[in-house]
Amino acid sequence: MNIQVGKKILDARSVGVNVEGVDLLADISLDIQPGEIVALVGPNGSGKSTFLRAVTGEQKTCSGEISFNYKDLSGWNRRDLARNLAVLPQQSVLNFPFTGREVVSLARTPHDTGNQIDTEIVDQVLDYLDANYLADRLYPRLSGGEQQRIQLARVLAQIWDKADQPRLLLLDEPSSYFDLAHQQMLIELVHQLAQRNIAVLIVLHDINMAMACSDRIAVLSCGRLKAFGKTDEVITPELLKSVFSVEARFVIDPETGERFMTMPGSSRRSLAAGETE
Amino acid sequence: MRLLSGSQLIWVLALLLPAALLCSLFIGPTNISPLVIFNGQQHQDLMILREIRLPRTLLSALIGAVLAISGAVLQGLFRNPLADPSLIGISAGASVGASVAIVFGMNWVSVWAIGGLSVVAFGAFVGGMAAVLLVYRLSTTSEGTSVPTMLLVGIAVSALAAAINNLMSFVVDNELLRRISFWQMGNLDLANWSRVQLCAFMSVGFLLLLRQQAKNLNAFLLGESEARHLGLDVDAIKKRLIFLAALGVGVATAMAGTIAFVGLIVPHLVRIMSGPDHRTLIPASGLLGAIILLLADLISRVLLAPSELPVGVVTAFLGVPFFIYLLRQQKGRIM
Repeated sequence: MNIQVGKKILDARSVGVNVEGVDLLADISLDIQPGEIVALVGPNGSGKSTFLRAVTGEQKTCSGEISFNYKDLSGWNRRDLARNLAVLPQQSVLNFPFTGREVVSLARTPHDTGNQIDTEIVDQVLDYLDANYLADRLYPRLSGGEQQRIQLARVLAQIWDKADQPRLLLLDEPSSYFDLAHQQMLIELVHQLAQRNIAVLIVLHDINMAMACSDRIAVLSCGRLKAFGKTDEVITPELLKSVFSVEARFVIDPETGERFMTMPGSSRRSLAAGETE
Repeated sequence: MRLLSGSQLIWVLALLLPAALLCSLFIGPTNISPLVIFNGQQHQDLMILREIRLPRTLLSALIGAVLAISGAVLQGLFRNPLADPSLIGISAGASVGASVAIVFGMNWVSVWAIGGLSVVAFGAFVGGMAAVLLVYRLSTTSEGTSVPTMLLVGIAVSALAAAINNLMSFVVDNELLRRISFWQMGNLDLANWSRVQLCAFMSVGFLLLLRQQAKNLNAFLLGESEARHLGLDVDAIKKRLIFLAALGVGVATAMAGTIAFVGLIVPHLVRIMSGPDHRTLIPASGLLGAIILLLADLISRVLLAPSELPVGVVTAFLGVPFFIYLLRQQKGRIM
């Protein structure tokens, strides 16, 4: 890992978001170091996407401060920000018949690097994500997972160069359409990005995936930050019980030593309970 | 998957356009031999060319181009391949403006003939712009302009305009009614040099302002927040594009009435041939729009010569079956 301790690429200090009298987020303090992977988890409606929108400036905050690379978000020029901060939304609807390559090329909109460099970057990224075979196919006809990979390639191409500058990638549930092989690819990918000095803030539903990906993890519940710290220390059965209301256990892979969460027999038990009533 | 690359398509169309211009110049109720230009004897034919055919040809080409480009811009802006100028109220507003001018303004025609524009054209322009302004205002809140709301408000405003139009058609006498419906069908027979100049001047500005917007429109197709994440000032761009499209369609409608389907179909044809990249789509739509309107106008002049069909009728008759054929070819997936 390439984490530069003490430096912060993103620094959110007691951020609050209030929409029509409802506190969607309250007092969220969260920082990300260059090259660090931070996972953001929490039940539905806990404010994960709202926080991402606050970080990108789309959602107005009512309190607190967010700075990117030591400069307040409002002080950033949009294009400069876009060269260092890329966002993969949960779902993108694109009905126009662009090819995969053309979609990825759109990532270069904020740059003035010229056609040749842009083409090289797009080729590299497509290669990197094993998506070359999608380059000339029409995006609207790809499967959900393939579209997601093209979109992932697009956000990578947006911040691919500028290796000397700290960059941040926000991923909002990137794995929702991925099959097993590509879920594994995603885990490897975020680790490789960290080595390229790209920090990643990744919203995930799958706790096991979050544990496999992240250095630190932030747990949101009802718009508040329940816990934020080293992934292994934060994720405990007690926390999962209080935030997600599930009985979880952890098992350790005897060969690799990795920790996994299981919810033993929960589905079968509740079914059985339903039958006896 | 694609028939031609962007630059190939633009070359092909750039070669076809002069051919269409020449056809439109020399073919008509009376065919004129191109040789009259050189032997300089047949005075009357030269007069027809210079005073009637040439301005009409140029006006058709310009209006076709502006309508098609405006359609492409609106479809990109709304991320909806079905968007066309009628959707944000321009056409309906222009109709009302023209009808009002026809019904109430006829006495002032001579006073109001500003730069070759009749009071009807002026009324159409004002009506179109007023409708767009209304639609824009109603769909803009402190949060920005909502594109889906704009579609709905556009439909509502168009319906209101249609009601006003119907009301007027109901109360006026037969002569005025005929003029109103004739205007609504679209025609180019009022072409003259001052209209051509005005339209050319406007088109050049239109194209120059749009040139920088092609890349932005491409990013827009990804979605508004995606475009924002790519560093675009989405709200400012939206405002500029709506204004440009409204201006383009407003002027075109003022000059020639509502000409259906050019703005809808031409960008589709270009996308089918060479993809949705606006750096190709905008210039290629302009060229193809010009060619198609030239040919439609030619047909409208010769089919029932010496009388003329409204060109809007021709574009609809040719456009609709062709459009349906394309839809079928694409197995319903024209998008």
